[in-house]
Amino acid sequence: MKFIFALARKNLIKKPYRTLAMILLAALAAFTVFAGSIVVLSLNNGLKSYGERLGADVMVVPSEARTSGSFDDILLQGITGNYYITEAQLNRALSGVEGIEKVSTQFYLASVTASCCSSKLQIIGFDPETDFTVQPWIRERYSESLGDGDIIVGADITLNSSMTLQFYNVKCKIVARLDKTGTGLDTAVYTTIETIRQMAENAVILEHLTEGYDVSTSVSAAMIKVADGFDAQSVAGKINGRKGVKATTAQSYVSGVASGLNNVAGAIGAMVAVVWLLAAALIVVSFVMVCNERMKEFAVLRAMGASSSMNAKLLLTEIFAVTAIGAVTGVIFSAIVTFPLTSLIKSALSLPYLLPSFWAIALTVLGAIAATLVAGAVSALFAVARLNRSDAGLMLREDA
Amino acid sequence: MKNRYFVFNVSDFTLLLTSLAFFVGTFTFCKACGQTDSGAYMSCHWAENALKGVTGVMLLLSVAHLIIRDYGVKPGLDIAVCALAILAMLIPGTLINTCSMPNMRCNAVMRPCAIIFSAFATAFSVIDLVFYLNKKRKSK
Repeated sequence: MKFIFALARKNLIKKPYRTLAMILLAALAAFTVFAGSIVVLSLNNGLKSYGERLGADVMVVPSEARTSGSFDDILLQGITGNYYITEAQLNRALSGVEGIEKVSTQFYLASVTASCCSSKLQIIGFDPETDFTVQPWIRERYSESLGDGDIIVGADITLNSSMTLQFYNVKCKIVARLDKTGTGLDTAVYTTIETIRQMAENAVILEHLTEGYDVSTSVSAAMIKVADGFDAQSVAGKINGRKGVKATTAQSYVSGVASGLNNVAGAIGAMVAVVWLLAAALIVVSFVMVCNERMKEFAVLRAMGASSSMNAKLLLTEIFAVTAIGAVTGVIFSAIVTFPLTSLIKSALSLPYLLPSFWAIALTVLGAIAATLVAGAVSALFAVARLNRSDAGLMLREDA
Repeated sequence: MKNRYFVFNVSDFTLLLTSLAFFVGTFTFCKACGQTDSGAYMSCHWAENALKGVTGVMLLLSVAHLIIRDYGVKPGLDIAVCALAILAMLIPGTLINTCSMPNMRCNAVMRPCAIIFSAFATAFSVIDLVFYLNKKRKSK
């Protein structure tokens, strides 16, 4: 066996360009399988996280929110937006609608890149007394109640040593940082509705927010929990019949994102399958061609006393070595490209994108290597079958 | 005597193309964030400028690596390119700060591109170094 390994090694080294081409083919298959799998897994992970964070059954926003900086833009891409409705208008829209168990209002404010603010972020203000959507998952990180000027930041916001951020000249203390969600919420800041209204008042004074909003009585959205026995879709339908507001069910947000995600995941899956099949076919064809070219070499080995099984072992060792090196190289290069580009992929797809856990990534690495080795094994079967069909004596006589 | 000189190798071109793509990238597709609303530059702009300089030197060394035929010099150039590639990888985010938000251009595009191109340049220069050291050893 040691002799076979040494001979296979020499064969591969003596034909560097052929070996390199084979390694590149195997690397291409592994690269595509790994990168495609990571993107699909991250999209599924992001959707799961997105569904978990919505919290409410129905979201009610002012009609204008559908046109600029809408709720799903904030959730998915972290696009900042300001839109308001007075509490009186909102109460009118919700009054008399059956099936509403809980209502909690939220206030959204986009910060700006100016001296008043540390950076451009979406600030979300919630009412701690009535909130049932934000606090349950904030409690995973911060169990105290939020004080005046306290903020909780998303996972993508870099903390400074002073643990403070300034928005519209209101200096805020960062009390916690949330886990990554893969959505626009990773770049959002959470605070109480009192603190955010203080910021909004300053924003009006600084002319960053249009006058005409009475920030002390305005809100941006209402989160509704539907009572047992009622259907969220019909509650949203009733609210949509009222003037000035637009209600959407959480299910429709999730299913809208899920259908977009399924399309993207399907396209990526199909592309991965096509590239893998092409690479596998190329590997098979290349090895069979190489095997055909080397028939005389194998015939000489037979004439020198090597058994046919030894020839088969030699060929299998070469194929395994080439596909294994290619698979590992492909996965390494794929990881070098895929992981640093996470933010870019997320913004290009405009879908929730959250990298899978370490163990899921480790399994994907093994899966991609295994998929490439399978392609190598298939080509090995063809090559060995071709080798077994040939007659060594005949091959040598043909040469003569 | 013939052994002391040789024609170009695939790895010479791979290294040159990687350095060229990296250098061109710093002026085009992997630029940092633009000016702020107030007209000021953020720190990532200086990281971009530093990258331009380092990748420019990398490109010059890669061209020299292709032109110079003495394979006593080539490994030295490989080591220099490798060191510069590692430096280029560390510039955005480690040696010079980028913006605080991960979805900003400097973090989403410039830094990943610097990591990817640097990793490729490091890998290719190491492969090239091994190749030429091996060739030099065999020629003795």
